Amino acid sequence: MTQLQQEINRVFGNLNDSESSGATAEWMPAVDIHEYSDRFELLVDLPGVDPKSVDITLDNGVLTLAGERRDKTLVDGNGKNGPQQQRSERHMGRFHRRFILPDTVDAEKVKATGTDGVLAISIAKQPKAQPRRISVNS
Amino acid sequence: MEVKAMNVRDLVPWGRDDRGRHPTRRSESIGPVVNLHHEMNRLFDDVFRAFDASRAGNLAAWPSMDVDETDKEYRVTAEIPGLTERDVEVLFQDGVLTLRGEKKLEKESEGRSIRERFYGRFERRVSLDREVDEESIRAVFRNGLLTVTLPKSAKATETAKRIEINTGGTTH
Repeated sequence: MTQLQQEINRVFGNLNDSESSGATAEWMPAVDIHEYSDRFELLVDLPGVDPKSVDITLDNGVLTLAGERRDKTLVDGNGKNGPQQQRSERHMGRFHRRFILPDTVDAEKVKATGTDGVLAISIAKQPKAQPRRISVNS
Repeated sequence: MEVKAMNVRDLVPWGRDDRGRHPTRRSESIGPVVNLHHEMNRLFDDVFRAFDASRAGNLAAWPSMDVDETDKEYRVTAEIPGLTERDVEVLFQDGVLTLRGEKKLEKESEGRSIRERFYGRFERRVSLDREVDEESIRAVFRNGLLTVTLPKSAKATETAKRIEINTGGTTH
């Protein structure tokens, strides 16, 4: 656990979301973070959320993901003949998650694509942060 | 840039799953056999959860799902992000719907990585209380959501027959 915590501390700071709009969030999506030589990549599980509706902002080194998943059954009508929930495990409503990015990222180079309910966010590293191969002269 | 000290709860996926850990089941009144079935499903889920603990602890069963019932049909909605219809098997037998498949690692990271998302084999079952028209079951996979619609059979949708209660006669 401590190791995992240190690892996350090192790669991406995860802000405490007790303040600001995080307080109104009803759930947090699961996220994988991978580091490559030239970029970081985040994979965010957002099934049932239109990727275009997700608010992705990068401000002052803080990446914020926010949006909403609407309960379709409630939209369909909750009247007398509306559906009765037998089992309810899915999180509905607003989600919110923030990450402190390492200062090696290039804030101008952020790309996001959504496929099959997974939002992939790629953040390039600044060229100077990338490893450079140094050739040895004989 | 200063990185704030973190709360452990922010790191571990079970913080995120607080609300999903004890899914509500509002079907306590439907009879002991069905209840037992639900209970067994829960037990199996718990066993798999225990295995999952090694994966940095996602305590909720995967995939998360909702089961909705109307007069005419059941609708099962499962969150299976990153997979498509080719990766998931949907089976129906003896009143039990089974969803199963495997979510493989997308790719190996070159450097450091953190994983909160689910990987591995999964199987979940839902037992349905009423008879279903097996020929009319439909499954649609879209944007990481698998939706299975199971229309109730004609017999199951018949309204309950009202039985007249006779007075037991006068005892006075």
